[in-house]
Amino acid sequence: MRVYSILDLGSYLDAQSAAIFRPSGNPSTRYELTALQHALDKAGRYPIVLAEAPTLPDGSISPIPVVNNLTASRVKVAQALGIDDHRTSAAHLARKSNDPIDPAIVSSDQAPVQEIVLYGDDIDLTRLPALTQHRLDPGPYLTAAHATTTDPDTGIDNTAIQRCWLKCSKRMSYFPYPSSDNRKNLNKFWEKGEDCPIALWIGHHPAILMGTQAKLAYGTSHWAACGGMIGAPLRLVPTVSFGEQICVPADAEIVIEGTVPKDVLEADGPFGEYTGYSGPQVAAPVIDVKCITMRRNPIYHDYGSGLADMLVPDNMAMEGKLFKLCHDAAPSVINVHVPTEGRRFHAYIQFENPGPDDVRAALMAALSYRRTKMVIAVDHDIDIFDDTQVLFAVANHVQWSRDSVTVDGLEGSLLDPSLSHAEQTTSKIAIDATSPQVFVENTPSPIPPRSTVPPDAIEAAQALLKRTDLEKWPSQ
Amino acid sequence: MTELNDAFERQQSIGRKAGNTAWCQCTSCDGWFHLGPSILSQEAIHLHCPHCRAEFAAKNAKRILFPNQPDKT
Repeated sequence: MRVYSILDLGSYLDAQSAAIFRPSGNPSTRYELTALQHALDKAGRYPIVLAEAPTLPDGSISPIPVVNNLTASRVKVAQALGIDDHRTSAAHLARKSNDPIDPAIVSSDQAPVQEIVLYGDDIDLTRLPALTQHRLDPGPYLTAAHATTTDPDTGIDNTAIQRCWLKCSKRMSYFPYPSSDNRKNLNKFWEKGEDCPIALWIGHHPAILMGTQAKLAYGTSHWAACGGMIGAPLRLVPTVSFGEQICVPADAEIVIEGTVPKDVLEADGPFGEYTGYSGPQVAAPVIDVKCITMRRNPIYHDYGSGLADMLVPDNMAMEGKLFKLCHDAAPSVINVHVPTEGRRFHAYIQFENPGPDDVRAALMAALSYRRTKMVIAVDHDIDIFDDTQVLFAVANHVQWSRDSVTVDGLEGSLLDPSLSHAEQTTSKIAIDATSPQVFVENTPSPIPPRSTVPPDAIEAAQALLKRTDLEKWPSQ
Repeated sequence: MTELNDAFERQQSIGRKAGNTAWCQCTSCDGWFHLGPSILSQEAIHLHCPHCRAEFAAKNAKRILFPNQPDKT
């Protein structure tokens, strides 16, 4: 029986037992668990999926369970962060990720993630129940490995989720996005003629996962931001290989420690990406593994790439970043939503009584963020969590030549399938779908009123329908 | 494939979509997989076929197709 003291994955799963789907049998780590996530996304249902005894590619049964879809539900992720209504998470995340609390360093004997330490011939990455998610993926990938490196000049940590293809027992590819902060750290080590130390930690409470996904400026500690998110110091332990040079969360499930050898690049991918398309094969660094540490009974965590499982937490973290950017530019910004339907490319910005220049200022601030490609401004009476309402506002409030701005040559995602071949920048659009403000206080808005019926008539209609079987009628 | 690449060029020149993906045909199994610019610019790195796991230099690929550019067969 595991003993839980602080936030960790196991205690979270124990508390969420009613929200967990445990597939029968021994689902394969090769496609089957990801296919289950696709089916759940299509059905619009987001349980946590826990495979207690998955089948590995060689046909053996893994003693390590796999959890995925852990963060597919916005409602659950918000609750894990202590937020009652997921619709209010943008402001919460903006505030909390800018309110750092320094981590606490504990010793190895207080760190469950170092209960087992594997060196030398005991290291075998192929025994981890890593998933091969999509066709054309060349093999099993770590998808929820939080790669932690440090700036060799300042010692400040950086953490990001970055994929690793498990190539053999002790080597894996490692793909830090070219403009990522981990890539900056890696380049600094290489420019000094040194291999880059790295630790990848897997599995934690969703609040910790969200805390370490905060979108921060280079040179800002993710550990402190995570502490701010959970309102307490994050428990860290020095790595076995690098000591306090690189620390990892003491209550994680599994840690892989290694080095990124200088100037070694190998083929990586193709890999099914967040866009919903397969990203191309690229030249990527590799990691030579020095040591693996884990709990006595670890749980392996996988993110379904391009599925709600990965889009939801990442987009919620984006909302926090965008809320701060936009609110700093225009205090009339009251909320932000980055819908999973737009992958990471779309953002809806909501205003209440914006000043004359507020909307454009906030839209430009939102476009400046690398990940956005289309940003839409709407009024407070449009539900930004309902695409049909946002499209209603676009349909009724926009004259394209007056209310839209396209900007070319901005940094975007190289994974965007619409880019031209070898194009390095992207074209973005900002759309002002707000309605005009009143000219004279306490007078009607200068556009026509919405068509509505009186509230008592609506109530009567709903009472009528309550007694009717709606399922028998067409839904489309 | 020359005709297809000519078509890509024509489409691009009049502002139509031409795609952005280079495709490689495996020297061993004839399977196709897609490549990013970074790996094609590094001749020392061997490509890895996700279908049969063959590894080979790009110059030995059976075919490489680029949007907007001549066939590198």
